[in-house]
Amino acid sequence: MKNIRKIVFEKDFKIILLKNKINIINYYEVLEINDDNIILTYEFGKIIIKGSDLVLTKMLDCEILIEGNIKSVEL
Amino acid sequence: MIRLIVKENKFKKFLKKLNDNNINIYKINKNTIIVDEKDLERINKIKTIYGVEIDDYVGIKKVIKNINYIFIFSIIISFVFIIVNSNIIYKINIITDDIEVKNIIKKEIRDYDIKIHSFKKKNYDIIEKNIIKNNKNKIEWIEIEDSGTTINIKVQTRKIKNKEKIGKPRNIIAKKNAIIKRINAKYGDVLKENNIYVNKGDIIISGNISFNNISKNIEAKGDVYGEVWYKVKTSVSYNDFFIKKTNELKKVIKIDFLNKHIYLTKNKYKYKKEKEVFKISCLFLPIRISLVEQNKIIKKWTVLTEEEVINKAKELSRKKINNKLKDKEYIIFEKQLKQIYFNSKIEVEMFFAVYENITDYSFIE
Repeated sequence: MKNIRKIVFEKDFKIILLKNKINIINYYEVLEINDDNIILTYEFGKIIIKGSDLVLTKMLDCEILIEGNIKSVEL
Repeated sequence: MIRLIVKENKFKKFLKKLNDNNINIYKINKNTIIVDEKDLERINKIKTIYGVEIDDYVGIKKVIKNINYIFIFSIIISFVFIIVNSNIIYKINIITDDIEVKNIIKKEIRDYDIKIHSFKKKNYDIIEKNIIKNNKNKIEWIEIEDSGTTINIKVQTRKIKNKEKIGKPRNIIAKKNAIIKRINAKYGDVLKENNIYVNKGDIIISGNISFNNISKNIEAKGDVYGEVWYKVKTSVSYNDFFIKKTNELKKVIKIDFLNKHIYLTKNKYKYKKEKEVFKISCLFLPIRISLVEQNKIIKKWTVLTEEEVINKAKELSRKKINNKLKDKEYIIFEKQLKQIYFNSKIEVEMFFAVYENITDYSFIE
């Protein structure tokens, strides 16, 4: 039961990197959205995602999904 | 959920604005976003400078919105119509030659409300038992068969040997036109001899015996065998097939809806023998789902030669006669009379002389 709660109400910050996709869980806010970079904030600072043709495909209050040619992720 | 269209040049800014206001966006496309319907009021407040339009509902809301209620209503009405109609009796067949028994059955089933344009009943077993109970002397056996919208009532009438007639004076007569071959007389006066031709109804063993000029009627006992002649016509087609079983087996889900059978399989066997493994029936709908085991059968067509057709026709004629025969009865002689040729078949006429029991009784009043 504890494990289920942990999965459902996840509080840890997480970055899941997939092919041409990046899923960020428990971010704070979006600072900038561009085709070449997207800047987000999280508990310990900023995340800069660089690449080309970057688009947001899902944006919930604790989760964001970005698609495009991702070149780098800077923390 | 609802889909919104946002003017393209301000799209990213609008996304940022939604994010700042903690509004969830479930899907983002070129210039469309999918958001929760409950957030629409908040979006309306912040959309002031952004060109935002409602495109369409998505998800269940869209399905509900697009439901064609007339279509669904007509489907429900159709189902109700089918169910009601398939549970109404449109025809009743009482299968018996006895008119008296037929009338009794008609009266009985009317009492149980089994009549045309009435609803079918479920408890046919009880009705059958009650009809037999009420008419012990007339009905031996009854079966009420539900065949779609038709009710078939098969009746076997009771044939009781009239007790009064047992021991009553009687003659033994010929049941058919025949040549007498054997007379086994226990009681009575034998009037005919072997190899004599008798017509139907002729007295063979008389129950009227005379001794010292005194005449007395007794119950004649015995049996008579005779040679009876038959002519049998049988047609056989040149095209014949034989069936061969294969080892190919498969389990298939079968859906029976009304009188239609639907098999959920890609490669259907053209000819098959099937055995039911498991079934689920629905009480309210005329539908049944079953798991059947199918055995593939090969059906091969061949063209018979003239000789083969005639031999087959002879064999079938012989079978027809043999099926009628009882113990001690047999075919004495057979002969082919003629054969008529048709385009696709041959009709063969056969003559049979049969050794048969021709015993019948006529009571002396």
